Amino acid sequence: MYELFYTWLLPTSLAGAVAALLGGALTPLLKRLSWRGQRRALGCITGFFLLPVGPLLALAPGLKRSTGLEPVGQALEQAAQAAVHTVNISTQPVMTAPLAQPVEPVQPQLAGQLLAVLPWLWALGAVLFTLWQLVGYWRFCRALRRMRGPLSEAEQSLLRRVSLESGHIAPPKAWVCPGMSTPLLAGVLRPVLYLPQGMDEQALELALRHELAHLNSGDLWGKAALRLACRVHWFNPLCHWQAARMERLCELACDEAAVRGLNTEQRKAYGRVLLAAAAGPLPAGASGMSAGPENLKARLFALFEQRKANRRQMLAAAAGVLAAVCLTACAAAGLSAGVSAEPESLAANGLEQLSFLQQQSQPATREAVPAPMPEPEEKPALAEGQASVQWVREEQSVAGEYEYEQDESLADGQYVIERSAADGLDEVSGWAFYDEQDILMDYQEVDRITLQAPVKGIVRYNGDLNLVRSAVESSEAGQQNAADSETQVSLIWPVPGYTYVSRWMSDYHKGADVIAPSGTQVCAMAAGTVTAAGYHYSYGNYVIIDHEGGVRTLYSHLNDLNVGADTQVKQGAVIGTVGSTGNSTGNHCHVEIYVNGERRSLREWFPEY
Amino acid sequence: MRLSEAELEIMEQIWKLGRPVTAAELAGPLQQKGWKPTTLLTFLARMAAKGALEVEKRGKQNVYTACVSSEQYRAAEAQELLTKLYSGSVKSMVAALYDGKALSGDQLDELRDWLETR
Repeated sequence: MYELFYTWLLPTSLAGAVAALLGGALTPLLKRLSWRGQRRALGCITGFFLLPVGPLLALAPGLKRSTGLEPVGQALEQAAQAAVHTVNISTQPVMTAPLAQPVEPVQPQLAGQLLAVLPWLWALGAVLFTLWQLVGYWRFCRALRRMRGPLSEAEQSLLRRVSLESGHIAPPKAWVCPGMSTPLLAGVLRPVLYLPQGMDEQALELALRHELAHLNSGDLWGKAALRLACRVHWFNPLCHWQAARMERLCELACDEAAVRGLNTEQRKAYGRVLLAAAAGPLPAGASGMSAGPENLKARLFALFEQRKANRRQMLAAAAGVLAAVCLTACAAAGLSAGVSAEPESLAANGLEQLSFLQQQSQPATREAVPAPMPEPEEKPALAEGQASVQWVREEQSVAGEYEYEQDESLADGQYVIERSAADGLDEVSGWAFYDEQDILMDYQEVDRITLQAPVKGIVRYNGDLNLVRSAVESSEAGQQNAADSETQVSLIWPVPGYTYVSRWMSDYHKGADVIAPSGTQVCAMAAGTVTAAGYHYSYGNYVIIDHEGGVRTLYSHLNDLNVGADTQVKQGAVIGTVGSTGNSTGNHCHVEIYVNGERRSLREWFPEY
Repeated sequence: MRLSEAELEIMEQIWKLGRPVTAAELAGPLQQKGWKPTTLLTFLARMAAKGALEVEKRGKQNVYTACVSSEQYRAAEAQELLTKLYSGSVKSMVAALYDGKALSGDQLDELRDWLETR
């Protein structure tokens, strides 16, 4: 639904609006054309409302994206993602903890909610408008069917004659129906003509010429298409404007066809029939939208006008329409190129492809990890009972703490984990003092380097702090253990400063998309060896790290890389920063994880992110 | 003008006879309805008030003449029904000679004058 609305419908509607505006701008060029020519020209332009040109062009491979409309497209894409995200949040199951009652972790934002609701609002409107229209039409046709009667001999022969003159060998099915002032044509698949009762024969003939011209040019199909466009784009005023314009042109073109070959006196008679129809109650009247006297005046004027465009004017008009169509198509394509989400299918060959590309990749030069303090030349003095002293260096895990904030708006005993805590990692250097049996007697810390700062978790709660604390901490510990026991590797979240996860791994998407501002640090999820770091046409700047236990992680679309191939990285080492390189439309880090060659979802390790 | 079902039945008798009639003449064919003479007279008076009938005093008796023909009445009725159903949504799905707003007399006269000068 969201894809239909944001990547198909909205760009189509926008393209249609652009086309309609360009069509409006073309008016001076088209003015000299016959009405039929104008109807054709504008018909091409109206097609943009019904044919999703942009999204279709965007599907074509190798499309240049240089129209400058991508920001709009990206905005749409982000809107869709935000909408999906909001829905994901609100449909996530509520956590269960033994002692306290938590609620959903993040409150969906108002804008996100709005974006999530819009598509459904649109669908509801489209369905309701269509139903309303169909029911009205059905009731009207039923009434016509109930009251109709057969044609008289004279009417039948007249209809046969006029039909032949307008190129119909077999006249359409026709009935007489009381209560109307002029003939009326209804039905798309099997058009039926309803004639009024007791209309003057000459007037009837002229009116029939008009109706048969409608039939000849397939106007009922055209009107049906316009209706469809207006229902689908019911929120777009330019679509309604364009439809009204087309309908006006339709009538003018049919007048033109009806009076072709008639002399001035006959044209006058046609004008009188038109006026009589406008005075009569049906099918005149009833509609609130259509223009009144101005419209009729234009049609009367047109009856006596000779429209003959010369070659040059025709060419100019054709060129104008072509230019408008091309321009709109380009704009639409540019718009949708921005919208079309990363076609990860291009990257479907995944790691095999990458290992091939690895040879060409340029390793980055910067050091991944700050250098630990070298062993000082001078050793400290030994105290009594100590036999030796040694310089030791070790990694220490630093527990991520939770910060608890009281929130009165929550129910008693409820809590919300705003952000999960993550352990940090320090490299600690210092002197270790041993006795003669090599038993550690004392330790002096000299230097401490933070390899990975711990992430402070934030919990909002209401009620008994101790209960909440034990619930939060036991659930965190349980989670860690679950993931660890499966892979023997403890993973940390790769982008501590992330905003949200726009999508997780699925059949259509190979990894998790972690949204974060450009420049946010991306960290190694565990210690390991960088096996590849470089540029890929789809992944952009990427890093692959092999960890213990057959675990391999991939980080892509990075802005810049801090590591090169063969770099040894510690857990939490900053390997690069978030960007939007390669096949990407916004700043995010696309993360994939493989265990013994099998692709797995990051969600298994981080269910709460 | 809209006639009720009973009034329409009386009207149909008048149309069938095709001439000015008295209440007594109508009572015969409408006998099976079981109306009292006064009921019939009430209906006739009401129809006259609606403009469907014209009343003429002939001596002691009233003579009734139909003001509208059967065709006129049916056409008017059909028009009323169709107009009610002919909304903007229907308009956009059928093709007719003119389906804009009905014009006022002044506007029509102006356009008619213009047309005749061509």
